[in-house]
Amino acid sequence: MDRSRLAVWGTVLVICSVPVLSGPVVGLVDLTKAPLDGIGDGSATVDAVEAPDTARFDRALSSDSYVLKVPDARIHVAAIEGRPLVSYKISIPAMSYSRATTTPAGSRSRWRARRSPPTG
Amino acid sequence: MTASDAVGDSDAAAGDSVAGDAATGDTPADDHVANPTLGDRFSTVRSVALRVFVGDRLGLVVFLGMLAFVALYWRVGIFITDNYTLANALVALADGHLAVEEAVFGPDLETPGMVLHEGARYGRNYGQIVFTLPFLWGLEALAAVADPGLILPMLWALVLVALGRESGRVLGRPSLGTVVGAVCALVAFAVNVAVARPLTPRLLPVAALQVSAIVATALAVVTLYRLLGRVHDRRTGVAAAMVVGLATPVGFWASLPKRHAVVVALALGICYALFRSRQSPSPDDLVSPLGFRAIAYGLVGLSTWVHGGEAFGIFLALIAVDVPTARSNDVRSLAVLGAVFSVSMIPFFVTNVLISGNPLQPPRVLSSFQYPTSGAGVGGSTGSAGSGGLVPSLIDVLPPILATPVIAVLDRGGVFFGEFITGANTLASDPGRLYRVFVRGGDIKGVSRLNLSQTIYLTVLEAAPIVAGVTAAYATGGVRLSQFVHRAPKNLVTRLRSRSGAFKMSPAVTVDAFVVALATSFLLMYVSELPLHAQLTVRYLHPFYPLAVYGIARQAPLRRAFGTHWQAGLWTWVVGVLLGSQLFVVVVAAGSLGRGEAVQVHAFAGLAVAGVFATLAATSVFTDRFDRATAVAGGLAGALGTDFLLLSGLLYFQYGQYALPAAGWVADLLATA
Repeated sequence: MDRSRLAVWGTVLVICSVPVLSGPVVGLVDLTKAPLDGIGDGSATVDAVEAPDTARFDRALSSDSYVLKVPDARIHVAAIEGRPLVSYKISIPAMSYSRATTTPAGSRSRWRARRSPPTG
Repeated sequence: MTASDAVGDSDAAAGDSVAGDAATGDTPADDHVANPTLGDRFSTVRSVALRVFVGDRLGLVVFLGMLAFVALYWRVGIFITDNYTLANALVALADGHLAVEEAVFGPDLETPGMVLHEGARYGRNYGQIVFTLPFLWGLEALAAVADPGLILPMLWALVLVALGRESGRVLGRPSLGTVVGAVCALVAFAVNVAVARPLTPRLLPVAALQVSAIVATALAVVTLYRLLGRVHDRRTGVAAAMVVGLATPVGFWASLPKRHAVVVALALGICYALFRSRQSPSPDDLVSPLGFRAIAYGLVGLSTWVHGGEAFGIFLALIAVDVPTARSNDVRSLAVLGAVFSVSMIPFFVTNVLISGNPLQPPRVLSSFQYPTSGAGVGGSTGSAGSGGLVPSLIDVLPPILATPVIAVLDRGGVFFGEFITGANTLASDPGRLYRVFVRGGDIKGVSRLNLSQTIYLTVLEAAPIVAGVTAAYATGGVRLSQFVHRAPKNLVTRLRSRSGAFKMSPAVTVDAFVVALATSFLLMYVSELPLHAQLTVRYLHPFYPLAVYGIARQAPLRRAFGTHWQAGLWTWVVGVLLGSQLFVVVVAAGSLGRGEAVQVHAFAGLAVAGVFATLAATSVFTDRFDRATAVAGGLAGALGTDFLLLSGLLYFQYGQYALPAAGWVADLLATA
């Protein structure tokens, strides 16, 4: 009888202590992390972002149109968790023009994005 | 499976009476000395609580088993838009005010059932909301120290520990049960922790509503066990409880924040109290027969707080059966009943006064102004028509202080009776719609369109094929009627002579009559609105499921068939659940069926088996040659009900977050299959 009592109370103790250890007061571990399985789930620790100061309109080859050329931006990332998205957006309010690209970031510690903005 | 094994042994092990077992069985090896210690007092309180809520140890196993089962497909979240109303009203009440000011859940406060009165918004079903408050406080207290995402798995694992321990004791193998329960609980908990996800504390009010509904369901199921345990034997009680909990939509609505679970629990509680009020008292009863009769009325009073209309239907059924068949309607009895009934209505009146200023105007009636098409509009006109002539002249004579409540009662009465009259008219003019409610639904114009254009409407038989067993009752009724007609002339006279004065019904027959009256009352109340969208399993007639299972359990031929061949029935059920559910998944995946199509696959399978079971059940009245086949068909019908519960919870109706992360993991697997 004693042994089965011990089993019951031991089990109850284990079952009750785990949520407390992971709880808001103790917080030794976090057992209920949201799974980072989807694209866009996760986060990145960004050290620095080098965005170009200028973008240029170039006359297109054998055409009357102009091409907007935007240099690459560089993001220095210290750590990536999951699959966060990097988005690069450029807008020219005067022309009501706006374009953006979105790319999932890889898990390398140093990751360099090359952006070739669309022609317009 | 274990519960039914328990049935076999429990009769031998637990012996004599249902109540005696509970009174003696709980204290392990303590010697009771003269001065009670704190521990003794605790165990006294525990054994009294055990007797009051679950009856005995086997009842506790049924209760815990139901809790453990429902959690398997419990999704924390909002199922239909009505849920927003209750959840927001609960949050408001937990903040200390009745008026709902903020839409914590949902896009806004314009949700079904929310009522507007003098610029403030109110919810409904306040009895259910108040019943939920302690559960909300409990969950919030736990969330203060424990990880919210692990609270529900923790509680479930603790239920498993208790279930193992109590099952072991019922089976006479206490240490084995304890160890098995503890190991299963630890493993299950570890698996859940391994795939755990965070649960936002914002959802705790929804979870609390669901916990209260699950507890109400488990209480309902255990009450059916207790009732049939007394009417017949505990084996019948456990079997019926398992059928209701595992094989009918009672399990479907168990974890959904709607009133249905609570209403079913109250209705079955009234059946039980009514039965006990007719049984001859035994010395260790906690309550006298008159007390039980008063409890029946008290539960009716409490159900007004949950849903005034349904409570009124229950009330009519109760007085129609109770008053003519009572042993005595003397002044003392009626005074006790009146007093208890009045006291039980106080919460309802107080809530109404706080909201509308009128004790007889519940929030639900206020809402009828928003939905002029519902029964209330029809009832209003009936009420005014019925009160012509004598009644107004009476009211004119009465002093205003008396006339006001009389007018209010007549007004309300008109609203309520109106629904019954409309229902009776509908039944008379359009009996064909019963087919759409009880037998075959399919693609009903108007219903499917409002069900997100999906054929997710199931009739009573499609949702719970096991209900087909009531044909045995019809067959028995037919046999009795023909016998009665054959020897009528002589019999009638002697019977009338012996029954001079009041009817003398046996306790069980009294409950039978109440069950029929209750079912009729619900049917009349709702038949004019059915078939309707957002019903899924004809939830307006939700009490039909436990009442039908009660009706099946009352049939001696079916008790004989299942009693003799219970192993065949049980194994068919097990195989039907394990293989059948996989078969359904395969069919749904292979045919890449949509949700509506998948539900209709269940409907067709259910109808086919229900047809066979209905035929065999009716045959069982005349011969015992097909008893084995009857048990197998019953097992299969039950398995189809269970399959629908599990697959609707884990596959077809995925929403929110699973209370058990492991169940969510399984659901993810099924979704990608």
